[in-house]
Amino acid sequence: MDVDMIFKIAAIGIIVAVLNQLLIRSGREEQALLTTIMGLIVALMMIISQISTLFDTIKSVFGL
Amino acid sequence: MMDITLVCVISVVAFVFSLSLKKYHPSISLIIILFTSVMILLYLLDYFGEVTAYIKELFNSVNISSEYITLLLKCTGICFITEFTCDVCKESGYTSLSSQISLAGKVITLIMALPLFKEVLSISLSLAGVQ
Repeated sequence: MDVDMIFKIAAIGIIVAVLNQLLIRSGREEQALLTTIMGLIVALMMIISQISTLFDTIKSVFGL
Repeated sequence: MMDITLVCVISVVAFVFSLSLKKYHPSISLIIILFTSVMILLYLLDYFGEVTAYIKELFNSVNISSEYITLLLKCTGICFITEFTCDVCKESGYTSLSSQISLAGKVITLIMALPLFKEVLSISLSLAGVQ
């Protein structure tokens, strides 16, 4: 089981949250929003392949 | 025994992360939970492959037609996917979407089981001597 990925995603979340707070405090709301969206996209790209693997495995195990 | 410990420990780690990130970044906390459930399900499916192979062998040894067991396994697979998606939707608060997914799963399972109903009916009619 790939446990490291959980830590990676949590680290992305913490970094993005800190960056978000910093950018909002220094008055750059647009960049803060863009950082949030980028963090979300990176995390999504990491899990999409796993979800596809899960569905493929279910298909092959149950013969769907 | 070690496997269930592994699954429990990973779930606890994931939900602590998710809980701490929920205030600042709700979507990432959802993604952590989603990823963890995908990983646990993938881990369990390795074992499930052995179980299905054993069930197929069992049914072959008592001479039951293999199309029934294929149908049964397909229904189980549909239930797995539906339950997973349904729970993820329900957890993010989209209850209406989750009930639609659940309904879709039920309808598709029913459609797959309909030919069996016909067969049961014909068997019982032939037993009763109607035809």
